[in-house]
Amino acid sequence: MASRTEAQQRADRIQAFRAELGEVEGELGPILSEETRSRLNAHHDATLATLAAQWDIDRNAGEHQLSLGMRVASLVGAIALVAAVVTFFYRIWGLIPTAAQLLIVTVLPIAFVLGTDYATRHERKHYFATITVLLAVGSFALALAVIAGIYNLPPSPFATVAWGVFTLALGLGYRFGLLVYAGMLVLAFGLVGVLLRLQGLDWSPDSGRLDLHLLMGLLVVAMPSLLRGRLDENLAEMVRLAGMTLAAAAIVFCAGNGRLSVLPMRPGVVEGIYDVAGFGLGAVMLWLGLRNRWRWSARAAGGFLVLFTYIKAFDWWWELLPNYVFFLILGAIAIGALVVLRRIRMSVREVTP
Amino acid sequence: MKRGAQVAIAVTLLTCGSAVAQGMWNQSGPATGSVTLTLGREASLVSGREGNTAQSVRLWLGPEGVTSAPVTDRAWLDAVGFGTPGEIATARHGYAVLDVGAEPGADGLTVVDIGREPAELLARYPDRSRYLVTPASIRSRIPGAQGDSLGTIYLTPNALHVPRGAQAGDRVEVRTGRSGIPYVVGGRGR
Repeated sequence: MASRTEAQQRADRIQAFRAELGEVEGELGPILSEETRSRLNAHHDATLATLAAQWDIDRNAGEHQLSLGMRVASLVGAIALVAAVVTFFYRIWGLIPTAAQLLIVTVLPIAFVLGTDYATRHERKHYFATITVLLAVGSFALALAVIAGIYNLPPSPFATVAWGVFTLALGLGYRFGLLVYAGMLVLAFGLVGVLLRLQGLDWSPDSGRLDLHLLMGLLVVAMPSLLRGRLDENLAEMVRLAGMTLAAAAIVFCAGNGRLSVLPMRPGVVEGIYDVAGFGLGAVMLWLGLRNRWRWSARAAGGFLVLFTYIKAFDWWWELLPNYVFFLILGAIAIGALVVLRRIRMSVREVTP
Repeated sequence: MKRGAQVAIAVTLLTCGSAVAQGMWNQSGPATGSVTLTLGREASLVSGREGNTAQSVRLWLGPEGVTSAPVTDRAWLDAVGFGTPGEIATARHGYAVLDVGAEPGADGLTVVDIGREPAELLARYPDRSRYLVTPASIRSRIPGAQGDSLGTIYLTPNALHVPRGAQAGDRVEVRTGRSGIPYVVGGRGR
């Protein structure tokens, strides 16, 4: 097995096989000879034991639920500890010399990176590593903010790029999907900022030129395909999600305010173009996701289509229609979406039985 | 150690090191400008808020609390590279010249010019004890927006770190460094 995910999938298949075999034998009576059954059970038990020893997989539903709870606990704990580190530093930094401030904020992320490396070597499920890695990412952001604050440095897209690279490196290195998503999103946003800044433009998103964000988002979506399988599929999905998030945000804002685009047309025309682009991109991503079995991309595309439809419905009809008619239309849209998605589901089932 | 950790550590050292070097280089050597501000008249002291023990000075571009200034001259927008006024909602990075003594008795600093390069502005406003050149974000007016202003000027950042303790009513010296970034030298008159 190349990864813990694959090991868990194998274990899940064994459990499903056993459950289904039990169901079938309940309906038809014993269908396996005692010798075959004992050989099969012994092999599955040995396989589960090996996977558990090697990857610390969940061997039953109870373990799975506990693991889920522990993952949530480690994530919540990590967020709380990041807040504790940041607020504690802000509480004391005015009381210590500048050199000590700089030393602390530079050493903190490095220490947490080393802590992450240590934790990943000593636990296979990365509960504590989740805490240390989020502390590393938070500390790096703190370092950037504090150094910029001390020297009055203007906000820089290069700092955003650095934060993105830092987060992405840890995400890819230790296979943290959430960090791959966040790192890729921040990196892509920062790279657009660098392009804008090199032209002498303010790089904050409310300054417009969001078409660049859309193009960068599409490039990020295509990146896993361009890398031709060199990225693990789960992490590739996180990269696609990051690209979709950036592209979707650009579309939503440009569809709402055409002046945020560089297209040389009247704002109303630009908004119409982005309306079409929003529905088109959502439909294409949904189709690509279903066709290529990109589970998260397909879900995100479906979610975006529904959300975008509601946003546009609000833009178009909220002021024109009585409230009850507006909500009636929203309900009708939801039912229409259910019918369409049900048909898509059926067609997918026909293609992939 | 995994390569991801090595990259993360390298990025930390490179980013923090270059940011510190940029800040120290800006503050080393002779200042390109030096003005003295009175806290409570041209700037306010931000300290001890929301659990933050650091102090900073927020520059006023008008009466107390005003931290942005209107663009009143069309040539200013041209100077930072805007095309047709308000053709798109966008902002450009530039520098603003703040006049400490524009209107005697009036609160706040007055923006008297903006441009792309601090060196050009320093040459145009040679009185180093009266004018302060600082980075700024200049936003053009969105078509249809109300008012006579052609745009808005925001200082970036709009608060300057105070390395030593200061109190309301103190006078602080603000210098412009080699990179055109202003910094506070320290509290005075305590």
